[in-house]
This record gives sequence, structure tokens and C-alpha cells, in this order.
Amino acid sequence: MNVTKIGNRFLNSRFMNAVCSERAGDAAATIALLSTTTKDLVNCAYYTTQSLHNKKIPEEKRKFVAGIDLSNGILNVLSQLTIGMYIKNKTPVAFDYLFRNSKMSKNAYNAAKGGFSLIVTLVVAQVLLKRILTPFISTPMAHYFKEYADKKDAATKKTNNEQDKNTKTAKDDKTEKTKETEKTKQTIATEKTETQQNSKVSINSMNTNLSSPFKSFEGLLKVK
Amino acid sequence: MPGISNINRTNFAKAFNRGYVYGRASASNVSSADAKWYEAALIKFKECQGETFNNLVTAVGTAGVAPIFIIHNPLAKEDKQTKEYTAARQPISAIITLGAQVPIMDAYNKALEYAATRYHFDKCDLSAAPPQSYLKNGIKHLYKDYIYQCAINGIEPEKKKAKMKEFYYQLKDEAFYRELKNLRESARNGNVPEYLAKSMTADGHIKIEDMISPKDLKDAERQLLEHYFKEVFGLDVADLGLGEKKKVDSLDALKKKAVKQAFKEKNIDIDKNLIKTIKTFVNENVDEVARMNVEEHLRRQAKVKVYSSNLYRKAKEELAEYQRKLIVEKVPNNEFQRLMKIKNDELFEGLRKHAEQLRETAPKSVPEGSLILDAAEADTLYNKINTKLTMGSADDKLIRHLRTSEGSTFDELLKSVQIKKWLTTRINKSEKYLSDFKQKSGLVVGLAILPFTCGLLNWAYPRIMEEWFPNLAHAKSASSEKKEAK
Repeated sequence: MNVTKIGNRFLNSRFMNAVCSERAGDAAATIALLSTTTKDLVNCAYYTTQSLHNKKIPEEKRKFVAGIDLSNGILNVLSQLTIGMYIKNKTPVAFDYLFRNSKMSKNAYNAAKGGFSLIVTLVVAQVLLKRILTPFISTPMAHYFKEYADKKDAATKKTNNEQDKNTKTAKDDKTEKTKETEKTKQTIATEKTETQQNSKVSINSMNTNLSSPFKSFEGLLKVK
Repeated sequence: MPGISNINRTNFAKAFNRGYVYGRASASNVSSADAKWYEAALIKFKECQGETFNNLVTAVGTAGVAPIFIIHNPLAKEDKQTKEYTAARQPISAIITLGAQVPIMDAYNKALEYAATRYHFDKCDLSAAPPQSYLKNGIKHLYKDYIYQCAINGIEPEKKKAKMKEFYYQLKDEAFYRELKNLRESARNGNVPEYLAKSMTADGHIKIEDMISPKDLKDAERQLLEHYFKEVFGLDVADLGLGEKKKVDSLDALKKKAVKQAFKEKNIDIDKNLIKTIKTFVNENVDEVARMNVEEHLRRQAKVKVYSSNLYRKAKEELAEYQRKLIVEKVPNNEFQRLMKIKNDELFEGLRKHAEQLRETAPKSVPEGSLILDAAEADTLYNKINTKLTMGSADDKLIRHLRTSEGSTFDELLKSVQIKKWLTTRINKSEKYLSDFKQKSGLVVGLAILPFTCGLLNWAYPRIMEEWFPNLAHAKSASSEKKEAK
């Protein structure tokens, strides 16, 4: 197995040529931001779904926990794309202003500028935005999500109850109808039987009646 | 459309003098001696830059800060115990992230760096510039030896981090020059490896497109912009007074407010149509300008090498002649060593003086194809020799270590400099490609680990809360039980 050949075939493929390149460094910041945002979005969807269906979390707390996950995700994405980007672009300007009278050498100045950008962006994005502002706003947001979920559940339950009720009534009606139908059938059947019986009786009586003229003929025949 | 044949390319003379080792050494040599304590702290943060540092700051924020703002949140209407129960999830999440995601991503990145160094992929070959993770064991051994030597000689060892970094650069340089030497020898012998052969033409020269790095394209873009404004508006962009931070060195710079304002003061309105026109002009010509720049740069380097290798060869012959004379005179050994050292230093100083004189007398320009050095090339030669004397190690100042084996004709030395340019371009492109590949594939790997870390959190969180904080987990049922008991 020649690893170099296999690797070359994969890296030189049309798909990899379209996805990765050595010139992408020009858009590195944008790619980093998009990847963080995508991760946050997928995290949000995953954690929210998992929390909602986690039977180990007490039921009365489940919706709030899921609500926190959902609102955290939405707020993280929005804040990174707006405030995060703004802070990232402005830190070099802020550094130039704050350290305008610095006596550092050029290399030390550039290194300190890099360190300042790094720590400010990290602290603002990861601590201030994600861990202070987001939970602060997401906690009440989660409450509203929970209430919305509760209302939806209540509405669903109500609809289900009504449906159950309707189904029950329909069943009862059906049962009654079935009973009635059966009854009617029975009645019909009984009447039929009666009619048949009656008709038998009448036939019998008819037979009796029918026999008498022959008897008179017999009599008549015999006389000659 | 303004012609590009008369573009000013003398700026390239400055680029010659930055050798691979010394350039990087000067950039890394950040002296914070004259910085205040908070400035020194910021420099330290820059040194800590990396994924681990990012994850640590994130974990501190997640575990230490977020729970406070969930619990003590006046806007939330949930009861305190529900908030505490929810807040406790944050430190557990931080521990799982640090414990699971960080080692996996770390191992993945190290695997990528190993593959990029070990195998000569076309798009990513770092065999001549191994990353720190690949050289870890070598750095450790060097540092152990260093500590041992310090202990034996009774010297106070320098700070560990700075010393390890120095050893990393040392090993990285050794890898580069070893690979360069092997490639040059293989080219002279005619049995080049496959990954180099792919970039070679039939006559043994290297294809120009494999020697153009992203930096060359950026330099070409800058030159074209300067040329455009000079030809069309008669304006020298250096006169805009923008300073180092807002130079007109790329198409993106034209979109900046400060730059547009500076142009407006010179009565030039940088609107969308103008930017489009300039962009078309730059895109049409950037490849050709970059190619011309690289070809000229290599031709100049080869000319300097022809001259320098002849100079060095003469110095070596003179030293060898002196050595023979000392042997014939049967000079004792220690005296022999002392006299040889004096002669060596004398010859080296002679080389420097010769280069200095040449620099003063060289013409500004020479006919094309001539091997006479012009002013810029003579300056390069002087800097080459002077740098060895002022910044080089003891070995660099020895006449016998001066390189003369790469060839003596222009064609041979041109091939030799082309190989070095090809190698540095390859490293430059590979480092950028690896960085892009790490970022994008890292996202995919991160998302793939997500079900695992999420599952682990959802498994651990309620169980930990039940085990260690039952009062929070069963707050409502506990309170209702209490009520019933009453």
C-alpha cells in the first residue's frame, strides 16, 4: 500500500480541489467564524433534542433544560456573527490607540498586538458573550420556550382528549346503532318467523279448506 | 492599458538578504526587555496561542462564569433550585469537553502533521519543514543534553520554553538544509525523486509555475497597483501618507475607509467601477508579473552565486596553499592551529572588503545576459558575507565550509537556486494548505465527535445530579412529600 499515491489521488481529486486550497488563508477568519457558527448550530439542535428526550432528567425540569440549550445556541450564533466580528475587527485599532506611546521594539509591539487581539477576542467571545450575556438572556428565553412547549403540550392533550371523547361517543353510538340494527334484524327475523309460522298455519287451514270440495265431489261421483 | 514591462522591480533586492535561518531567527527574537509588565504579559499570551489555550479559556468561562449568570438572573422566573440544577450542567459540560474533545482533536491534528511530514504529498509536503509535534522527541533529547551540559559546566540553564523553541528552530533548519542538499545532489547525479521529477522540464530546470508562492503573487499584486496609479493618475501611492498599517498593497486595501479618504484628498474617487477596472487589470497580469519577478530573482541569485563561488574557490585555494607552506616549514601543531585561524580570519575579512569595494563600484544596471554584478546584486553579495561574519556561528566563519560544490557555471547554479526556490515555495504552499485542511476537516471531526460528547453529557448529567445533588434533582417531589407528611 503506497500511502503517498493514495493520498495524492485523494488530495488531487476534483472534490478536494474545490474544498481546500493554499490560497484559502486570505479568508481564514471568515472560515473560522463560519465553522464556529456551524458547530454552535449543530450543537444547539443536538443538545436540545437530547435534553427533551432524556428520561433521566426529571420531567418538570426537562423542558427548561432543553429551552436553555436552544436559546444558548441561537444567541451564540447571533452574537458571534454580530458583536464577535465587530470586536475582532476593532481590537487592532484599539491596541494602536491604547499603546500609542509605547516604547517597545517593532517585533515586541507586533507580538503584543497579537496577544492583545487574541486575549480580547477570546475573553469577549468565549467569556463575556457566550458565558455571561448569553446565559443572562437565555435563562428568561428558556422560560418562554418552556411555557410555549407546555401550552403546546396542553393543547395537544386537549385535542387528544376531545378526539378520545369523540371516538368514545362514536363508539357508543356505533355500539348502540349496532345493537339497534341487531335488534331490528332480530325483529325482522322474528316477524319473518312469525309470518312464516302464520303462513304455515294459514296454509294448513287452507289445506283443510281445500280438502272439503273433493270430499263433496267424491260424494257426487259415488252417487252415479 | 498601461504596460507592465517597465514595472519597478528593484524592491526585490531587499528580499535577497533574508536567509532562511536568519530571517526567522530575527522574527522570533522578540525582546521584551524594554516592555512594561502588562506589555510583557500580552507578548506571553501571543506565545500561548493555540487550540489548547482557546479550549482552556472556553472551559474557564463555561465552568466558572456561566453558572453564576444562570443562577443569579433576575429576569428568569423559574425557582432557584431549577436554575441551580440547570446551571450545574455547565461545569460538567466543560469537563467533558476538555476531557474528550481536546485529546481527540489534538491526536487528529498530530496525525495530520505526521502524515504531511512523512509522506511527500503533492499538495502538502512538510518533510523539509517539520512541525513541532513531529520534532517533539528530538527537541526533548536536545534539551536533556543541554541540561546535562549545564550541570557539568556549572552554568545556569536558560528558560525552558525559550530554549525548547531555539532547539525546534535548529532541528527545523537542519531538516531543511538536509533535504535541500539531498535534492541538489540527486539533481546533479540525475536520479531525482518522483515528487521533484514531476516539477522538472526535460532540460533539468524546474517549471516556473511550481516556483510561484502565494507571497510572490501578493507582491506582484502590490506592484501592479502601484504601477496602475502611477500610469493612469500620475500618483505615487507612497505619497498618500497612510503609514505602515494602511498601505495600498492589495485590492482589499482599496475598500478601507482611510485609504479611500486619502485618495479623495488627491481628487481620486475610489468607487465600485474603478475597483472593478483595477481588479480586471490586476487579475489579467498578476501571473505574468509574478513569473517575471521570480525568473529575474533566480537569475540574479545565480549570478551572485557564480561570482561568490569563484571568490570562495580562490580563498580556499589560498588557504590550502598557506597550509601546505606551514606543513613544509614543519610548524608545531598548536602554532599551526593558531596561524591557520589567523589566516582564515584574514581571508574572510578580505572577502568582505572585496565585496564592499565591488558594492561601491558596481554599475546601476548591466546589459541583459551579462554576468557582471549590478549595484543590487553586489549589495546582496556583501550582505551574504557580512551576515556570516556578524550573525553566523563559528562554523559559518570557516573558509573551508564555504559552499563551492554546487557548480561553477551559470546553468548549474541556476538549477541549484531553482531547487531551493521550489522547496521554499512547496513548504509555503503546504503550510497554508495544511492549515486550511485542518480547519475544515477539524469541523467535520468535531461534528462527528458531537454525538459521543453529547451522549456522554446527557448520560452523566442527571446521574451526577441524582448522586451528588439529590436535593436539586428531586426538589419538587421532596417538597410535595413534605407537604403530605404535614
